[in-house]
Amino acid sequence: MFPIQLVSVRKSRNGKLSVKFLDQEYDAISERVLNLFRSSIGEKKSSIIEKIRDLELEIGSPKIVKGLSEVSFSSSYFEPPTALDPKIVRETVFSMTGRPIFDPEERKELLARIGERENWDPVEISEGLYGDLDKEQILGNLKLKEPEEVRKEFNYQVFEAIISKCVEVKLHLTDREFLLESLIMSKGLEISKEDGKLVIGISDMLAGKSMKTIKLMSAFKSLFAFDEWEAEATIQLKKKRYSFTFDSSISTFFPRVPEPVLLPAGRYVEKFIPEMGESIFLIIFGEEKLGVYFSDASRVDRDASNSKILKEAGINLECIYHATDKASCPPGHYCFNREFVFSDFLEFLKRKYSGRTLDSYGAKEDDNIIRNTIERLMPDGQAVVEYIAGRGIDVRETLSRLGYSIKWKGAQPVIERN
Amino acid sequence: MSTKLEYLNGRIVLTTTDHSRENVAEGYEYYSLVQRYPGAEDLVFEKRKLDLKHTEKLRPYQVDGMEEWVRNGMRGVVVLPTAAGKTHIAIEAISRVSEPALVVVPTLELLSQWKVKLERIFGIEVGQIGGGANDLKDVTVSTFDSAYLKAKEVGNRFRLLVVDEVHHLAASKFRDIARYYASPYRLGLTATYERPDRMQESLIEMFGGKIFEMNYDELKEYLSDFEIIRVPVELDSDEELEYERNRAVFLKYLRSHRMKLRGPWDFQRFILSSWSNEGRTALMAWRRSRAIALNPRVKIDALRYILSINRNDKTLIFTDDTSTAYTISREFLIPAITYLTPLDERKRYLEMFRNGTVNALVSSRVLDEGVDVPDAALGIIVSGSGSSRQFRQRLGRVLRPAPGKKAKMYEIVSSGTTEYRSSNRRRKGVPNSAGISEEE
Repeated sequence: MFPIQLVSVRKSRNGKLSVKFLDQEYDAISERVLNLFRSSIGEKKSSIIEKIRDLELEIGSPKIVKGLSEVSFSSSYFEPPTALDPKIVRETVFSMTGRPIFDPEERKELLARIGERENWDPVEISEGLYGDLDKEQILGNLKLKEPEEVRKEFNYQVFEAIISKCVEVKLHLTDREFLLESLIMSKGLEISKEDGKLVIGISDMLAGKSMKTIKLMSAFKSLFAFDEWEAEATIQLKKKRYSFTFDSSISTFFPRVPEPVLLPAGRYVEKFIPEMGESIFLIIFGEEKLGVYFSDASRVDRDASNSKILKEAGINLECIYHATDKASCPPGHYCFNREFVFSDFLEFLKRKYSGRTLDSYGAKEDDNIIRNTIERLMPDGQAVVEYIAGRGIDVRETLSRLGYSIKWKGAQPVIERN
Repeated sequence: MSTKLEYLNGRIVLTTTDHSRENVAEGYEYYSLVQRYPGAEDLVFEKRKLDLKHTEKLRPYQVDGMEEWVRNGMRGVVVLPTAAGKTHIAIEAISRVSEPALVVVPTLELLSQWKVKLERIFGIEVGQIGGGANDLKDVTVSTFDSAYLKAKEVGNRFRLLVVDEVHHLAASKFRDIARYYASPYRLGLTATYERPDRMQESLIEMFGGKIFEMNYDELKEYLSDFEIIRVPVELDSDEELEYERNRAVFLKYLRSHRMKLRGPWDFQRFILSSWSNEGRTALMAWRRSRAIALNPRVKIDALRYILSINRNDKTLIFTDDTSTAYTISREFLIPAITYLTPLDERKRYLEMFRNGTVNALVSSRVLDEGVDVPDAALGIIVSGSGSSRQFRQRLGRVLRPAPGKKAKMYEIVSSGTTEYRSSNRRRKGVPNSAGISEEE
């Protein structure tokens, strides 16, 4: 997420807030930033930062260049300059020098001597001395390849920064209201209704500010896949509140959300693709598919008919019911009261389908995918948390189980290997 | 009808016995309330005398400082240069008061150093708040942060409040330490009382203001002889061009916005105006030109020369930024201490420097203050700000006396750039009698 200082907004006198998102016209700048990164593969982070400063100066839109660079940084793979352990290198070198080595020849000889003794390459010693510093890391590769991708990710980060300052959202859902409502609830957000609009009040949020943003963004990310909704968010900036209105067309500014599957009955179900870490409405077990969606007791019959249709398409349907008490939970189904917990649901499925394909969707395979993705996303703690939360599973428990720990540095999650 | 004084969450509550009147004052006002109501029933502190004696011998100026502090009602700030023995004055103050005392320090390093020293000198167990400990004793040391967090809870426990590097207390958050603690006796210690924002004035009411000050000139016999040598260096032609180009962008912006930079406030105004693209471009141009002036390539060669002619001296090298510190560390294979250095490594390097395993350290600003740096004979400022406070702090690092010692402080300065003016500015306050020379 961008710091709010990187976001350009216009505040009108009547309390309206308009946010600057980048359209196609900015692809040229995005291309310049990408080229800078492409041409810097094999270079240190510190030198890339210098080049970005020059580019900021040259282009004259520092906020935009900085933002696009931030996106490129977070989607880049960096590697340490050497395989040597910098701490050991420092300990060895400084215990052997004693005084400043001002003669370049003497320096060379000393490094050669240390190299011979420790079986290290003398060039690597110099490089490895501070190889654990962030700015010393070497750019390996880029994940985002196209200017449009970088630009859209920039917009997404801008949106997220604004949403982090959100104190209330009113949603007007013109279609598929029930499904979207369930979807938002599945993110652990508490909602109420006011004048036919769905209100997400942030004061009722469970956790701290960063969890609030993660949950809200997770809900919006799902909404972006749908059309015909409008939102009015109350944004608090420096103790003043502004109204930021937008609708489903805003999603054209952001990275594409996987398209939902359209069922004959007219219901949309999101796909769950483990490799992408996206939402959970259609679970794939090996070669078998399990469709999941949120419902309520009044729709049991219609759900049963949907279930038949899906079965013909080779998909088993499991409906998750929001039920305030045990009595209102349809027998044989998974129900939740306040918050949907995916890991509990998975346990329920395992019990229900025991001996069948569910065992092959065991923790082992799943954990491997999650672990690989976490490693790929590190050290971007925010991305790791979003990824895990986006799967609907408990972030802290998952990290701990897979050998990681989470700390909060201000609003930023920091993930560390145990 | 009599009155009663009580302490409640950082405040003093004054009530008459018939409850006809109740007044609330800030904790620090306890001192004046006691004088105004001498007959009041005082429930603020539990009065307890301790037996705190020491055998340390004070220098004459330390005795003078102490006498001045006592004359001022045991309140006030003592200003002495680094290496002039401020700690000894605090030790004497703790002994004179011989009542529960809290010593507040800015860093964890100083916290443990003060604790060890006080335990050794008074032969008592000293408490610690901060650095993972919450152990209150009659004499306790605390970090600024912990003293602030605990202020309302323990603000009526210590009759004496000693604050090291007291100029930090003028900052808005830490001012509450002075406000909430009711301690009637207060001693502030610093080498650099004046702040660029003049906030030190807020200490007058709550701490008693500056009561004693001596500068390098007056302490010559107790400090090492020293010499300040300026080494001007010329930028390479490509760096000079780049410097001029960026400087022109910056100056054009100032002219077009009718701005003049006469001091920190003007610069603050410039920063505030830099929200626009044009302003930000100007700000970046200023940063770039400053970076060129502070860290041209030729400075490494100048540094190499200085090190080669002073090869046996214990040396501290100061830079303005971490990146230059690491470049120097890598080039000359000496340890660097920056804010990024892990605590265990920092301790190890300081110990290696102390026991002579290494005879040079390079540091960005972290060793300027708040760390007990072992004595050095040679200081080299590769880059720094125009702040005379920073300069005096850095100079103080090489001034601890030793037989036959003549300390040297080199400043490597880029000719024809604003760094030259910064160098002149930061020397203000350094004694005129010091040998300031210029080397080509």
